[in-house]
Amino acid sequence: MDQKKQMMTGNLAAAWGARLAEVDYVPAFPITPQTEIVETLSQWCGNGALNARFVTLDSEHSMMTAAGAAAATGARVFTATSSQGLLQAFEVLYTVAGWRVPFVLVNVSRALASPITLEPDHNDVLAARDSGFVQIHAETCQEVVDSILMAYRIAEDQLVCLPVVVNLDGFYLSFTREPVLVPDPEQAKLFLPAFRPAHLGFKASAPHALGTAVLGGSTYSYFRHQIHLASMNALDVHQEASAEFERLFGRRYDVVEGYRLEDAEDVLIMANAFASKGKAAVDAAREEGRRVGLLRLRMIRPWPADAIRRALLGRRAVAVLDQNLSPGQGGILFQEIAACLYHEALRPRALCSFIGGLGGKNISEGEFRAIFEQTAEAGVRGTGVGPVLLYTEAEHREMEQLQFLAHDLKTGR
Amino acid sequence: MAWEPHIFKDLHQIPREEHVFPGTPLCAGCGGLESLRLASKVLGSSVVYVNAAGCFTNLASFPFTPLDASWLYTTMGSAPAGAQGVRDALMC
Repeated sequence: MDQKKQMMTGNLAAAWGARLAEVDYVPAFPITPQTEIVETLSQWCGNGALNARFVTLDSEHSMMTAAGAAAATGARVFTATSSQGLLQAFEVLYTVAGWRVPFVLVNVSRALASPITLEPDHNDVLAARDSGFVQIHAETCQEVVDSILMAYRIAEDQLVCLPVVVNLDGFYLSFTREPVLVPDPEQAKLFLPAFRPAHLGFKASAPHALGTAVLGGSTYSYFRHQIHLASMNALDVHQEASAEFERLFGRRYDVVEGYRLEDAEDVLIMANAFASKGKAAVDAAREEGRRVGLLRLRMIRPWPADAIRRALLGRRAVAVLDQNLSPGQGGILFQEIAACLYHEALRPRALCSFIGGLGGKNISEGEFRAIFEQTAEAGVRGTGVGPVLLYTEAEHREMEQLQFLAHDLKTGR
Repeated sequence: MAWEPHIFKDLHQIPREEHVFPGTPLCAGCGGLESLRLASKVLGSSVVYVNAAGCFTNLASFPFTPLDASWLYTTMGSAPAGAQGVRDALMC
């Protein structure tokens, strides 16, 4: 291992991202599994390692408002939340995206209540899919710190000027130590110069009205269209930021990541930390002679349709493993993948939808094997399957035991 | 800029300078608007108003604002948090 690498949690890596970006302001509210991020930043603000103002607010709703309002003055703002906290801030997400204020929010994914739990899936962050925030989803702790630096660069680009959410999985990244190379602060400054916005600078002595009402749909539509077009610009801006990041730090991140795709007949699509399990499953399947690969979605808003098409056209079959569930519909990402392939003559012969990893539930080697088998069969047959709700027999037996116990406790028998 | 409390004992003592100008979309005779107008005579123009949902939503309607000070419109219940964000950042 490189000498300079340190073992650190995803949460500490996220805090390092904010520190290297030399943020000015951190409005905070705690929530498991995110709290370690704001605790670390609070310590650094206290001991002078980070020259930022740290303020605790009374809720995530207030926290997100303060973040947007501070960013409107031209300050560089960082904040973090998770799960119920993100939903508590929900109406403000849309509002601050409409203010066109660039700041970075880290969401540490955790499944939503109810039933309430602590471990991750992506129903929290994907609920914010239509808010106007750019979304970057990280697979490793290294990618967390790197993505936060890239996120500021994208958010602050005048072609984008939108808030960015960087997502990492609770527990699997937030509390898991991985080797991380913390970018050199001087190099980080070259990558991300001080924020000098010409278009922001909300202050009393220069009258400015922000968040004003509009009268009528045509004015409203104009500003909503602007948010869409700005978000689409983030695809090119990400590419430019990615090239510069690679030049300075030697690590490259694209909007999607292909793993063993070169000669793959069938492709499995995943996002976030569980993609590491998927890559291991691809390796295992390859050893059994299956020509499979994995496509990891890193940027989910804007939706990188062209990059996805390039990776998937001409394949036999594609399986989307959604770590989320839209009740009454199925996998959220499956729908988006299907939509962007519909008009392609060379689209895969079958699309399969699997739902797994809800509430941090493991996806076993056996389940991955079943996914690859069913996907291959679907490709041969020419018809997809799903949504398949992954649940093993062992898990089902365990659940039955709990139900028997609940029944016994209730009835006293 | 230090701000001093003022006590006005009759209408003639109220400053004549205006910071809230006519032509807003609010109803004629709006008591809220008159309150804002009087308050602004003390606060002056070096102010950021942070307002949450209510009739004053329409006070600044793109592209117009009746104020010579700054204006930020927030969601219901979050005006204090918006004001805190602006204040905190300007004091950074």
